[in-house]
Amino acid sequence: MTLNDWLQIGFFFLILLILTKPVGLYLYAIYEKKPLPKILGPFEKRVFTLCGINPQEQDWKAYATSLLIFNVLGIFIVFIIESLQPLLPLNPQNLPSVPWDLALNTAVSFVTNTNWQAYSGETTMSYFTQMSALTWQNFLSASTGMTAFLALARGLTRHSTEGDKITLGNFWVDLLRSALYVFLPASILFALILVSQGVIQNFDPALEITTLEGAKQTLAMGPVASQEAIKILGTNGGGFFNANSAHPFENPTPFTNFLQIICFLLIPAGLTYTFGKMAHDKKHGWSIFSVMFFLAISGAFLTTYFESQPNPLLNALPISHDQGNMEGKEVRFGVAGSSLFASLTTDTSCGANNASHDCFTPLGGLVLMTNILLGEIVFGGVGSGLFGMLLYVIISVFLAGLMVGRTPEYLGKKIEGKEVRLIVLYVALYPIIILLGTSASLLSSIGLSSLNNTGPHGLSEVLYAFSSTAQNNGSAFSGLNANTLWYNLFFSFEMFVGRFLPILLGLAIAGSMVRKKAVIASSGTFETKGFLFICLLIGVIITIGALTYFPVLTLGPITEQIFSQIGRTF
Amino acid sequence: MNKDLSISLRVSFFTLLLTGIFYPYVITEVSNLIFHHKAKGSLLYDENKTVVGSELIAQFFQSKVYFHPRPSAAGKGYDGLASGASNDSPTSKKFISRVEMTTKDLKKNNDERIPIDLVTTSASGLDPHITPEAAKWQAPQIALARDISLRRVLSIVTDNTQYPQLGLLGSARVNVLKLNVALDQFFGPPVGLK
Repeated sequence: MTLNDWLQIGFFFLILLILTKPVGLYLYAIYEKKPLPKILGPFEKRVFTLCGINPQEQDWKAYATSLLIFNVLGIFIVFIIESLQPLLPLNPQNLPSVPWDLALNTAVSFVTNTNWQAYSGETTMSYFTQMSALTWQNFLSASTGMTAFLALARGLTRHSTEGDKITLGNFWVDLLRSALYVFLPASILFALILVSQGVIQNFDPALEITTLEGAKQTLAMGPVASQEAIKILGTNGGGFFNANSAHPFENPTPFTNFLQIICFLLIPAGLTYTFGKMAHDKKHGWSIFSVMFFLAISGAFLTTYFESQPNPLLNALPISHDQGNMEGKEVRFGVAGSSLFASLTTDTSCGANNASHDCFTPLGGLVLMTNILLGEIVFGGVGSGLFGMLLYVIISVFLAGLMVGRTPEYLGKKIEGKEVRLIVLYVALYPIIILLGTSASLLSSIGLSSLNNTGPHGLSEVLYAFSSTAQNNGSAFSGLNANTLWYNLFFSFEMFVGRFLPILLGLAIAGSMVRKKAVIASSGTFETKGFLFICLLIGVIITIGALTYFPVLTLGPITEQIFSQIGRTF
Repeated sequence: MNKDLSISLRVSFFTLLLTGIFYPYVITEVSNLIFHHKAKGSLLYDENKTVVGSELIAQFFQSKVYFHPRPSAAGKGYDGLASGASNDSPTSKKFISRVEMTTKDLKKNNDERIPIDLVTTSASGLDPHITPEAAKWQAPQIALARDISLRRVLSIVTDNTQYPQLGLLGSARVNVLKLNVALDQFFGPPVGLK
């Protein structure tokens, strides 16, 4: 690692730290301060009337019902737009309708904020589909993530005198405020900055040119910047083009690269501060932020270190390795810009990528996979990241309670049998769907026929894909050909269950917690903020998230690394 | 249930119009007004006002009088409609033998160690840049093919080198297409081509 690599990473985390508080304050003002700022209030009322919304608060069941129905309808609408693509406007390349299994996979993928892509944008989706179906769901799936967090946070932080409060807010109010006051204004600003750096934004058909040497080349065009902005801000990550944020038309300069990384961390980081405000004790927010910050920095340094190492299998060739592992990376980002992006895009559930994760060194790839397997809670997706982290907080408090022999409490509320049972389901869910899916695919010839690489790396490709879809990340070891009936349907299932089952469990917990009376902390209460708690939480996350998968990770990336050291290829 | 469905339909319709249609249109109109050149793809033109390419998208060069970009895994190479990486694992036979082949081919031109970006494919397959080291490594061959002094080629490389933004972000790089356009401007287009 060069001095410049260290400086880039340090500078990045410094900026993130500085921006967390202002963003958190803005989000708090939008969601929790009453009344809303002047102009927004009357505008919002009109929208509610237009949509037939009664902005009264809902209990957890009503909240969950609204959330589920809205999202399932979203899947239908995206599916229909993809299927009717040839009949719809803005299709200058005359692309045919998307095959049903791919259309379903894509619809589930964009509605669940996964943005797994089994297609390449240039040759599959018309401009109209990209805008009205995919850009639209980029906004709404991100907003849905925010609602899940808000409901859980309210359940934990509202003070109740034994059962008099049962509501968690109104889903429609939270959803529309996220879309209209958070994501839309931020996207407009970000999209224009992106265009100023060279991201394209037009409705022109693909452009045929004659190169300097007289050959023909076709350049893809399209309304890219508007989709790019929300793809990043909403931790969606589904690229307009196949190469995603590596494509020079999506991410043209090191500056846009830096901004993209900042922007997909901005809202998840700010939310920790918002949570502190909601809990009336900012230290709770900062404690959670510290856990995320620590894990994110560790991952970023490890990835950059591994990627800056030369590939031992190329040692015999007359090559200068000063730049590190450049296969699948862009020169303008270099190893530092690519590794930072890769590590943080797998920490958050963004899943955009500016380098080919498949081409990373085995240990670099191991870090990325572990980031995903930790549960997308190291900042995580917008809303959904802190949502998952709060569930981990509850587990940690419960474990600490077992150790000291007292009833565990968080924010003064008792954690009891009902909540713990729901949380165990949450913890068990991901290993089950990830490992069963991976095993089933490895045991079937249909599953194996999609592999681009053999040996331990082939295992990594499949494991990565199941982790990425179940945890709603959406990045890939793209060598796996995922556009087959088997994977399209399997991954649709993983994404749907991996998104909505935890949300249901979390909302049920919120519904039970909101009724509880907060007890006043005594000298025997286990402190749920500060250094000791931060260490405990990190320990629990690593134990549950990473150790569960340790055996399979040993067979994949770790075996591959050992083989590459002894010169064995596949 | 029914009420939720009716609200869902209305909210979907409203947000789809706003974020899926209105928003991209407004961004397109505004960008074309203030950043017209960039919004249309940062195209480069020759003296006859014909497009020779986009400064952001690599194109294929095979002539010895031009600088060459990095190898490409986009489609059959530099395909603007098929961006993508090789996705070969660093331990795969496919990857190792490809790098060996490329290295063997390039080594004929210059005996010095080859900068790694010249023998590896990029993430997009359309990477418009090479490192300054890679450009300098190619310079002697171009000076020879064009029958000009190495010093002049190197000075064009230096003129076209972009340094990390804000002195910090990204790596130093040279845009291959702009470099070749500059070569043609100074020394004329090669005979036999175009």
